[in-house]
Amino acid sequence: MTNAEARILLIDDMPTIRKLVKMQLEKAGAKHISEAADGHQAWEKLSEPGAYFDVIISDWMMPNCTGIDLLRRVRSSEKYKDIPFIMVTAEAEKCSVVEAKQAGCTDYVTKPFDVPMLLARIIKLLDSKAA
Amino acid sequence: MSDPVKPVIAMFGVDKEIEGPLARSLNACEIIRKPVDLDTLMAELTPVPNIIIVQKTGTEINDQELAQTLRMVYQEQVVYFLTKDKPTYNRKNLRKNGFTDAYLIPLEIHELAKDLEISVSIASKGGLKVFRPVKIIDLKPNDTLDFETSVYFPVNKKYIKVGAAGDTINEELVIKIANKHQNSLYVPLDQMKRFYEYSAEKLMELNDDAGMSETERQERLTTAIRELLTGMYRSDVTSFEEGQALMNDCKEIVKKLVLHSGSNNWAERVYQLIDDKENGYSHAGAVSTLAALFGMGLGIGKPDELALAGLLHDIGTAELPVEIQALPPEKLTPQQFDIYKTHPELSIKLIKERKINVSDMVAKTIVQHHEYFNGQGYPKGLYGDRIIKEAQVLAIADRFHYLTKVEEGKPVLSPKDALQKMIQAQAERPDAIHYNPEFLRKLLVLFSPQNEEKSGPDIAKAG
Repeated sequence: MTNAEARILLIDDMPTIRKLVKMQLEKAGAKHISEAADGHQAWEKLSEPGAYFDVIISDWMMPNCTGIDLLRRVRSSEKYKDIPFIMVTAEAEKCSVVEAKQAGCTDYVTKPFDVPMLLARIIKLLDSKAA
Repeated sequence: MSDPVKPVIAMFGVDKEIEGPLARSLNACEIIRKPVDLDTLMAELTPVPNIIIVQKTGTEINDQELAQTLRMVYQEQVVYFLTKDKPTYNRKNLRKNGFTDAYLIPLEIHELAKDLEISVSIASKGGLKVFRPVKIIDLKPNDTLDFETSVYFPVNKKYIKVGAAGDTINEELVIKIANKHQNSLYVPLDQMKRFYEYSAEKLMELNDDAGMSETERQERLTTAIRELLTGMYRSDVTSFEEGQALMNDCKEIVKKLVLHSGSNNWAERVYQLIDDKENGYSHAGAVSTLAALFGMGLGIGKPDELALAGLLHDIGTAELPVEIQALPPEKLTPQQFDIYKTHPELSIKLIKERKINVSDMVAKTIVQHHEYFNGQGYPKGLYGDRIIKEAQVLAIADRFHYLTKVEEGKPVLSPKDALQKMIQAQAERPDAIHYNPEFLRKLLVLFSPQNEEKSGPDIAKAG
């Protein structure tokens, strides 16, 4: 799979950060990026008829439904449990890597981060699984 | 050594009128001025800036988002945040979210000026020379120093190099400087590490692991006071636990930094507090130390209470309207000055709102520190001994530090000269007796030569 083919679901409550990450992903060649502002919206996107995602990139701290809530919901669902999930956090937020790992996240990054590199790693992971 | 370069500073939405104190740094750099909007913040700038300064505007972008966005765009750069909005100013969180540091303006403009000079000096690879003061008392005569030393002449605002790396300390020179009442030499910023290594070695020779040099004490005190006071500005600090934590921080600072000294010589300790070239939080540190020392010298009050009152005496200025904060008191209109005169009461109000449980004595010392002996001070116009003695001492310490600090264009006043000046001003104008004349005379006696030899009052136990 190439970056251009990857279907990405990007979740962050801050529009600026979403825009910035999206810009970086697009620079890395990504073409199919869907956005959501919290876990509830993300779930709606996942459940849309015909929707399909190769990777979920989600912020942890969000109002309504946090990243960890979403992760748990995704992992406990038969349909989406295998989608790679990248958890994003800011240093100031009280989040625990251990908690995220236990809930089943694929990778964990702290802002600021290098999105294209992360994406490349995920795609390699997906390819190795497919092979 | 690499060639000097001209650093680039990008300023997003920074008020023109605050640039004055930053002039030295800005003049050494190429400046890009931009408004604060998201597209501009995210756009790639050419040339690529080394330093970014952003000022909070409206509420369309929250601070956290701004911090994280800029940190994503500028991963390696120095990013400073400025705000005029005190109630939401949470320096700790702003730094955690990605800003290199944050400043409440205009109150902390001098802190920004100092930090910016350091950043520009580093980015310019020596293009902008920055010197840091080193107390001469920390340098042992006849030692070879592996750092350059300069003397600062406030009258013509110049640094003159007096020693190269590898030179021994010139004792004749030290005496000459002392005659000008200066107790600091200046070391280039990039060589300060060598000074700290040197002073660590000295302390090890003395077997004083817990000790620190006077230079380090004063630097750490200023930094600690900034941490402390910026933790008190936010309006959402209102719980009993937070108040108790702040009180503990105050006590730690008083114990470990204000009252700490390698010397038991009273006059020498006071002497170390003159010749202050910094602006801003170093004032609170110096006044705190001086109030404790003057109290010991006069046998008034408890050193730790006077020190605490000194730390917090001016915190109320942060509650004043921004346009009053921006000007020195002598430049205010009569109407503005009337508002300025509320700051001792604002200090106490803020301390109480933050649930910091200071003693009645400390509270009174703070609220009365601008009462004058003749009853013409503020806020209440108390006179004579209706002003508590501790507040009389704090008032003298406050004025003393103002008179003895480095002011460009003026020679530095010695402790004795400063006290004499205060005594003389009051003798010439009996209607202007602001400070307890007896205290001033007693302090002056403590600086007379025979007393200096006897090392002043016995303060061995007080530290």
